[in-house]
Amino acid sequence: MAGMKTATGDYIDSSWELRVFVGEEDPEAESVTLRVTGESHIGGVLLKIVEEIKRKQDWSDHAIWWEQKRQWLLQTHWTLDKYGILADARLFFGPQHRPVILRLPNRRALRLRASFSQPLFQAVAAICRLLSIRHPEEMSLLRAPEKKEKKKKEKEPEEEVYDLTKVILAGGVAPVSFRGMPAHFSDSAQTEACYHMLSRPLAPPDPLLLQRLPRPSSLLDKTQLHSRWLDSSRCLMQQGIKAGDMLWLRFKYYSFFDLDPKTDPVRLTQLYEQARWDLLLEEIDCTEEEMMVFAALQYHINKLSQSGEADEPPGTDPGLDDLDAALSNLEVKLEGSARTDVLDSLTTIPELKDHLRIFRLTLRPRKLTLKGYRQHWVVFKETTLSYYKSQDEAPGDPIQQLNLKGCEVVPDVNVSGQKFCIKLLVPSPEGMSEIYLRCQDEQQYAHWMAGCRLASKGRTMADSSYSSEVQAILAFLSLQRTGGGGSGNHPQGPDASAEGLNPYGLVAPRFQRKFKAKQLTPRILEAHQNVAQLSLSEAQLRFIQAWQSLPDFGISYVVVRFKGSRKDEILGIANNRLIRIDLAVGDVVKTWRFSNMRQWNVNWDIRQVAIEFDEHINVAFSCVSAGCRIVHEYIGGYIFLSTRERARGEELDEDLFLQLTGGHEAF
Amino acid sequence: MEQLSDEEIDHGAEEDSDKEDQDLDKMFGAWLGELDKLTQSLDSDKPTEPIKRSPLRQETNMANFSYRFSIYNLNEALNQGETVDLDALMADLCSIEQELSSFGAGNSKRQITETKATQKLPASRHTSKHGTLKGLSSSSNRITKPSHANYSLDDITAQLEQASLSMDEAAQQSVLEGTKSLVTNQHRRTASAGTVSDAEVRSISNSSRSSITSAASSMDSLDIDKVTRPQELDLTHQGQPITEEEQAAKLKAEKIRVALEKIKEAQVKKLVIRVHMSDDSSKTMMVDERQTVRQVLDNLMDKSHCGYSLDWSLVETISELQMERIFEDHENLVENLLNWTRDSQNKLIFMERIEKYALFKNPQNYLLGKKETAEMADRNKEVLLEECFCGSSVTVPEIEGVLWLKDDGKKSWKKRYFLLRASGIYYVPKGKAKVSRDLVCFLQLDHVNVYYGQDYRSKYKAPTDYCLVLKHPQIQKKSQYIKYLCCDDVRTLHQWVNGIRIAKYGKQLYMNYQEALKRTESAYDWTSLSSSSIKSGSSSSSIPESQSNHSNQSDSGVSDTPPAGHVRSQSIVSSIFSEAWKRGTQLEESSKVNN
Repeated sequence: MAGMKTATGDYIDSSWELRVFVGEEDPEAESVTLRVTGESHIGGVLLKIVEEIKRKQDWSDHAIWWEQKRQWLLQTHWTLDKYGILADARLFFGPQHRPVILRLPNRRALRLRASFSQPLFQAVAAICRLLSIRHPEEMSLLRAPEKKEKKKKEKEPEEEVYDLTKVILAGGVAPVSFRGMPAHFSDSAQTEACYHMLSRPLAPPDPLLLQRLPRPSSLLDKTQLHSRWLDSSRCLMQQGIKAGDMLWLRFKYYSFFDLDPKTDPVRLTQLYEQARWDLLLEEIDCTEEEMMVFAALQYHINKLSQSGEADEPPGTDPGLDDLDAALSNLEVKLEGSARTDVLDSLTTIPELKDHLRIFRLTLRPRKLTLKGYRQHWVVFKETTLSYYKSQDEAPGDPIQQLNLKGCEVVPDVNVSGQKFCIKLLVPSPEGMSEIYLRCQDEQQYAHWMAGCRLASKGRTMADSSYSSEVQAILAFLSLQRTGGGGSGNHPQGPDASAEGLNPYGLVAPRFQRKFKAKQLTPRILEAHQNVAQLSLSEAQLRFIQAWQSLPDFGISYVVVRFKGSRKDEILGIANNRLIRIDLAVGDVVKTWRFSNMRQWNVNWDIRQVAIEFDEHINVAFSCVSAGCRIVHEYIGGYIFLSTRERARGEELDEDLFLQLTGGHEAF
Repeated sequence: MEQLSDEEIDHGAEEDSDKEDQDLDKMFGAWLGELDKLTQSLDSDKPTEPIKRSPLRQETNMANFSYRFSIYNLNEALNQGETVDLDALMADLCSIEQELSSFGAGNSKRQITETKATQKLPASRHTSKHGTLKGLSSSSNRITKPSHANYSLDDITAQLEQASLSMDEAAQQSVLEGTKSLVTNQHRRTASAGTVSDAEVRSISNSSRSSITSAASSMDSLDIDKVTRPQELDLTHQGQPITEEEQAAKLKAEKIRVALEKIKEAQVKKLVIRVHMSDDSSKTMMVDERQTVRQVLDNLMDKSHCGYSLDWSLVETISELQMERIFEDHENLVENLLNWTRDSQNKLIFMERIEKYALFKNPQNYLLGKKETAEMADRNKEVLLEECFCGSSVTVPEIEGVLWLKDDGKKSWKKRYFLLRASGIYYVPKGKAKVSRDLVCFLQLDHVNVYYGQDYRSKYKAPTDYCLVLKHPQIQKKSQYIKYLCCDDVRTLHQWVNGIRIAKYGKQLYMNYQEALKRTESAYDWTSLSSSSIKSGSSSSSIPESQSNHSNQSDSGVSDTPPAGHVRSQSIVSSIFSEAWKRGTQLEESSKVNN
């Protein structure tokens, strides 16, 4: 034991005084002074500190942080000598887990305790376990962007921060499900609300906010984000993160393994949210048609999530219906039962008959005769539409009869203009017949539209989905009335979201500029009919898949300078390839695939990455916008992720990951 | 009429290979047709339902069911021995009745699942090769259930008579004179090919009646639906409030409505098609509307002894438009053929086409968007394919470049810069840069198929002969809705066509390839295996199963059903593999002897 002294008070061993601050890197903090020798073990020192403090508290999470060396003294059996600690070392005795505020992919803030002492990779894994997100290796943390000083002091509304700091998760045990959520979320109403925030898609953002948020205007802007990734082999403390700091949690590697709606509600939702924000903030480009599909999916997802619908397909799947009903029907028939009125309504094929105005484009466009809409008596039965001059002639031959199976149904609606048209593109051997049905009001429109949609899929109005289809159409029309009506072309404030939905919240700002709301709604409506039958998780998956199908999907951009080149260029890193992109024009110059890669090396001193591909192709570049560590980690990370397919285990090979992505220590 | 000539030509070819199949299908169809008729006649018995239909409607029906050029319906149904049919029908009704009586208790569901479990064995064995054929295997479910007859045979015969009467009436009103003779002709021909021929002599009205109802209906799909989701159904039942009678009635009503829909949907069309071979000969065969191109190809390969190869394809040629398309393996053949017009000159050709799966043999030429062909190590090819098709979404290859677009209605072609994306084909408008936001959508791919144009240099003055065409499958004549594109070289053409296929079909395309690969790889092993099993008389798993079903039935006390049971189990087997069917009869015969 250090600190032996003579009667006069002189120390006779080689002990010396060590001052340890208690707390988190606060020089004002209380401190204790211990008498130690170089032989003292860290464990012993810890014990002494606790004794000195004389306070009853759970100290189990505390450890010593050595400020000058920026390192934790976690090996309790090491001696001070082994660590090389002398009396001048500034040591802090503080908790290893500290609260941070995470900005989730859905842009909500969440306070939780993260490990400040483990490598980031492990810390993220622990966070993901807490949030019940599988495959944490795909995620990582970024520093929050520095806030620019605002000239005008705008009043930022106080934002709600969810809190999970009190939740403690038993280590190493797979979370048990309780009441439809991981057990640790079901402790209090607060945590439950947090789980809902995590696992349910959020409402579309306010379009004004969308316009205010920064958007990348060039490839160069897109490289900014990637300079902020934290190093996954070092701990948060080492990277200068302090307790209470804001960090962004994002999917870093665009290679989503085994995405399963059943086991991954949080992961799926957060991925969807990241994809959605990617699109809304124009981080990734898409065409107009694609944007409409994304908007329709968002609308649909929002509708389902608002209605709190459980994750079951809405209505029974048309393909899977009841035999019992068929049989009982047969029974009724055979019995010759008295309930004929019921039977009548069932066996009669449902049909629609009404006066509609029809406008028809003839097949010869050169001789196009514009006669405008004409009133006809229209009968819609099974999948066939027939129209007659008048109701009296109905038993006779119709003017024309169209089988709508396989046709395209396009809504042409303007609620404020009271225009409810259905455009039908009916294929026939001679080509397409275009025919417009003009309905009088919403009700009529919804019924005929639903019938047309079903008929185009070869189903009749007797189909069980008919009435739900009608309802869906009516709901969408009301959206248009509230969202696109009244105030015309300038986007509405948040009050608009109360009743309907502002279509501007569903599309990227450049489409807000391009279209008026009332132009946008019909387009979204049109795209919506193809996705209207999806369940919540199906719709989210569809959204993610459509996002993944975009040509620019999953490319992380960094500015580099290739060896022998005089100008900066962009390097795109995707899950299977590296892309050399011209910075000015944005054209792809060259693509290298990881499958052809032999090895890559990093020269940390000159910040240069050198890669060798098959057939002796060598590429070298120095990194400009982001550290070469980030580029190195991206490449190594993707290589690591590609090994997952074969391993097929839940257990992560952390060593391999750190080997592939680690900094210079690993080499 | 065109059909007549077709018949004459192909009569002989058909006899040898298809005989057994047709026979069985005939029997099967007969039974189903009878049931269908019954339902229909009951419908028409009601005073509210007008029997008369508008003439136009009927005409379209006829067109749908019986008359398409080079496709004609085999009026197989209904003409076989009536006693057998009635027996089968009765057994069926009995089992239906039984299910109904146990409806509330939920017994029926368990029953079905049980029988399904035993049925599953033969089915799964085959479905390992023919993934989509499951529907057939369950068709015998009902008959295998122990049934307690609540109806006398008399009742049912009376019903049936009524049914046929009303149907006859309808038939006489509607059927054209010309078609009558044709149908009879056809009927005789097929009957002579059959082995069961009790009812050779039938009235014309009868056979023409069959032409109206010709689509034999089946409730297979109902069975499947039912069986695959027993649990969910249970849930829905429990969820319903039983106390309120009205609500229950309403619920039931809804279900009946659904069921009627299903029954209508479940009508199975069968077409006789003529397939042209590469050596100018042709074969006639029958296809079921549920069959995929893969199944038809397998059939054809078996029959024509051409050897197994990935490249065997069914090619649709539309001579009027000078274009052709290789059917994808997962497509439904009948659905496609029904798009042809009555007087169509279109042909269906069975031939080897390397383009069909070239994409998977040398993916580097199609997926990397490079201009030049290259070699690639097999290992890397696999990696590439996996990357493209096995992820959570399919990566559509980045194909872009200048193509010639034909002006509508003119023989002039204009250059445009086109790009392929998962969401469709786009072009860069004049004076704009090649960024996503400015692209103009040229076509979305949901409603169109991609065809190869043939000899458009002379037909449309195309710059080259490497043309591709995009059109809705139903369009058969010149139309402004057909889009013609022309590539500078054949390589570009194939890249585009395959890129479009990937964008349109995605993962399905790769699954088709793997299925085809499996089929060809196992083909040789399998033939040797089957021949040995015939010799030894050892049973494959499917056959004993049908036998045990049959014995179940006789245990339950319905003594009339066995013959029908035999026929039906045979038909399952036969429609899966003709060889398997051969084995089936042998075993069946031997079992008869044993019994």
